Amino acid sequence: MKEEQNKEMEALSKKLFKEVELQSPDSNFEFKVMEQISSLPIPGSMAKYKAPFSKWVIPITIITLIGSILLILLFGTGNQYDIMSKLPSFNFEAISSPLQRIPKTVIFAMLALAVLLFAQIPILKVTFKNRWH
Amino acid sequence: MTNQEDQFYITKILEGDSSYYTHLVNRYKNLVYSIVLRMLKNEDDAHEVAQDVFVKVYTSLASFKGDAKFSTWIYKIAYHKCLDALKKKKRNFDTVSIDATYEIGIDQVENGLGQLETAERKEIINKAILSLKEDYAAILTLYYFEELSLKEITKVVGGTLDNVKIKLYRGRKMLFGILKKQLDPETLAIYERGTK
Repeated sequence: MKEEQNKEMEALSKKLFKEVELQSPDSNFEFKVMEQISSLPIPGSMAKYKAPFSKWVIPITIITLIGSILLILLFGTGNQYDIMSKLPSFNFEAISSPLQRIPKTVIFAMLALAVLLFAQIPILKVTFKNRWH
Repeated sequence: MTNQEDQFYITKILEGDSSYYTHLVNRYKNLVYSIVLRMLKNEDDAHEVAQDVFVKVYTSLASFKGDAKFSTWIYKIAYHKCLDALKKKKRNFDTVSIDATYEIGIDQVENGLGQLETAERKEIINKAILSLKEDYAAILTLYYFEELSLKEITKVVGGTLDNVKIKLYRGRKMLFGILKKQLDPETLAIYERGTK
């Protein structure tokens, strides 16, 4: 009896489901999905660069920060970076005056930023490659 | 042919041409949206989650090994995204549970539906599917719309084959129970008078 009822239900279900169509999302659904994926990297491309990124960026950041602090300590705590007194054998007369006006913390910060950007080249490469596509 | 086409598009996307993804979205959007809507029972949530499904499919495309059908893989992601969304919202729907001893009256439902206009009938069937508990709704949709085998459905929803079989049986029974409840008593009475 149960088996028979099950068979009847199965047959009628098939009939019922044939009558109703699948629901469709909004007409701009596809556009929204494509817009979202346009900002994403090509699938699988990030995996290639993930390892060097996570492996090097953190150590390089730490080394850069420690190096900057050590350099500041070594060259004293004065407000200006006195390049003339540290390298006396070269004639820096011509270029020293603009350099002397830049606070040394700014110079070290720029150096640290340059090193960090250099470490992220693989990631930037992937990002730009995808944007250009 | 579909699987070969899917694989062709996947290869193109992995080679760097993401514009091919639109073909895959176009092919699967209706079924993914239908499963998601029937599980979440809300159009706004369904749109959002269906979009998330396609973004997730895109980002994970490199991990698709091709040992299962691409469609099965997408439905699996959709099913689990819905479960996550339901967990997040901690929603409890007023779903119908049907007692095992409940007399459904298949003939009654069939003939009751037969009395209705096509559009009305469609609406009632759609409403009944939406009233089902989320996993039953997903299993019935995959079985009847996508005509997936029980084995493939097991891959999508997890669990055992017997579990899916039981859910399919219960889902069908619930569906008929809901339909019987939804049908106008007068419509059912017309049929009953005719059989006497």
